[in-house]
Amino acid sequence: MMHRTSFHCFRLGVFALALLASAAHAGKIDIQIGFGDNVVAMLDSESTLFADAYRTAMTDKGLKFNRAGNSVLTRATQGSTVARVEYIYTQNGLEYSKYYYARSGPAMEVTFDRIAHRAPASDGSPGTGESTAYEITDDDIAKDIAEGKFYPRDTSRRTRAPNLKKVDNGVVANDAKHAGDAELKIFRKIESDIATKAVPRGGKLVGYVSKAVCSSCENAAKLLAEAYDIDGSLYQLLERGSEPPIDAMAIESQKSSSALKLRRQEYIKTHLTNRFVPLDRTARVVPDPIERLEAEEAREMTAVPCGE
Amino acid sequence: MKPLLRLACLAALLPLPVLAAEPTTVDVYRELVRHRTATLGVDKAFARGTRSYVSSFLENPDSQYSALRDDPPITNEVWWYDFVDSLPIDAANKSQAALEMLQWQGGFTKARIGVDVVVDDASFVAFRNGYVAANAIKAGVDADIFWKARDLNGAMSTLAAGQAVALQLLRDQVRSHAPETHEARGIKAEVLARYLKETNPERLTESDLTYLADLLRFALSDNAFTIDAKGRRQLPAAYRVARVAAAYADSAGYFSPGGYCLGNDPRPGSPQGSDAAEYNIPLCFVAATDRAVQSWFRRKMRQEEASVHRAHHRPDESDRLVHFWFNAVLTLIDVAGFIEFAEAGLVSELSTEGVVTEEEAAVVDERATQLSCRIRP
Repeated sequence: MMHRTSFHCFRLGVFALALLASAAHAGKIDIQIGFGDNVVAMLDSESTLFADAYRTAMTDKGLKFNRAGNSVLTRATQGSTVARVEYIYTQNGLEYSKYYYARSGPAMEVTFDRIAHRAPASDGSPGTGESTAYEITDDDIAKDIAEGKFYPRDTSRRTRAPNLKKVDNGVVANDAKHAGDAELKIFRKIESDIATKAVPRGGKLVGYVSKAVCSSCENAAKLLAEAYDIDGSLYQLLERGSEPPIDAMAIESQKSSSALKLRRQEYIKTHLTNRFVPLDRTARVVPDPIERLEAEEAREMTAVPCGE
Repeated sequence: MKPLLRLACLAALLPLPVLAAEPTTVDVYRELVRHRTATLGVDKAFARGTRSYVSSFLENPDSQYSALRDDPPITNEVWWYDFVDSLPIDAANKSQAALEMLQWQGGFTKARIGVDVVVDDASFVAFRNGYVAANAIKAGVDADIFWKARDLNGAMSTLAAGQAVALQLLRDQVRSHAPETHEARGIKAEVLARYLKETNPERLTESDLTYLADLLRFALSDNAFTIDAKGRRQLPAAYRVARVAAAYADSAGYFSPGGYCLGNDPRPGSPQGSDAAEYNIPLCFVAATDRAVQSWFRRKMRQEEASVHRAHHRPDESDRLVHFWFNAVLTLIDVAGFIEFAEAGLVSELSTEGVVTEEEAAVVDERATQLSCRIRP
């Protein structure tokens, strides 16, 4: 295994060489507006993965929260930004693609600690579990990577982008408060994959983000594109009220953003909070028994309340 | 198959009213929920459950082959004609058009050749069998997609049905939107092209199958009414998947001599009601309501899901994907027939729009939560 310092020197060298090489042809990643059902479908799917990771982790740790704790948990899951990016490249004459998915914010363990200690966020406000005002520590990064066991196993074609070790050079946020943003995590994971030759440079990137891309991440996209000759587009959903819609596309994007919020809220409400449903990924999941469904369909009388 | 072909040809010549005019594409069920909420209030608008709703449309809600009621009570409600007048339906008989749409959306209609579905010669040839064609056409799935999904999924007919509908959703999106907007809309035409070109299921990529699963999961959990690229109404996604699975069952043939149909009717003496359901006996699908086909699908899906586990077999990534399709996507079909869930979703939208208060929405939501709790405690 490569020594850590050597690895950082290697990364720095690769990044410098990449920048030199990019002088000939610099890639460009456009930040554009995304909209429509499929964007909602893809991002909702990623959101579900992250909510399920919380369910699995809570089951694993035997955690149950009171109303206040659930409120923090809901904000941490519902309020986070989610992103999915496809990186398409050609190797030996064949086209391949790899998917990266991420959510904003720190490791789940950090949220659990906040609930346990009700710690305020760094700006002095009550802890929200959201990433925007949170500076990620090395300890949090290690926790995030260790939490890989709560997500579907990474494959060569699909991987979660966790928080990665801080570096001074390369694709970095120019605002530390955005170091945990979903799209930045993905950019950094792509950079890391290029360094380890898991994917080659010079590919095409097509991605979707559930919220508007911040200027720090726009800058990181520029760095990634120029350093590794990557072209492509990152499509963002515009939140209602974030800015006045200037055209039909922006209006559609805001509608999609609202639809996604509603779906995420619904899933989290029914799977994570009020009536907590544990999820054990190690157990074989089977579809629910059919008899209860059919009994409900045949029911003529008022049903007895459930779960009281 | 000759009698069936004759049936199809004969039916094509008959001036049947059901086939005479293009049906409306107004989402009548959605408008009904909105209208009742506005005029009756939340308490009265959502007082009845699934059983009551089904009973108001079907003569015998316990029969897979029930006829439609001639006198659906909903049309006698004092508010019915006000409601119908408020709909943007372009038809001579708006009341009948609205009623037919509710019957369609509720899964109360069948797929009888020449009565509910037109099976022309080309479709008969493309689907290789009139019964297969009738089910697949009602599901709105093209023949090339239908056979390709079957070929790539082998005995997993319910999985194939899910993928076929997802591919068709994608094709309709590709055809309905300008290519330059595809990427911004997340429409990946290349996924459809790759799937249709593939001959080896092992080469279907995880990312393409995940994308298709996302599209289907969205369609199954969305309350929106959809039309295809030609502007024709589509069944709710759950009934589409069930109908495609029924078409696969009909395409495979049966040990029972002559199958389960005689023309457009169930073969005399074949099991009906709970007997057919309990032993998971195939139905005469064209004569069965969409709801009955969906009910059969749930059992068929479980049967196939259970067969995935093989002795001494170590689960790999493809197993994970198959289970994901069964447990995270197709399982949504289980509850598609319950109006409690659909109404909670629609009222949630009304709450977002400010039409009902959060407290009122919570009442409807709690009804769905209670049902969910009883089904999945």
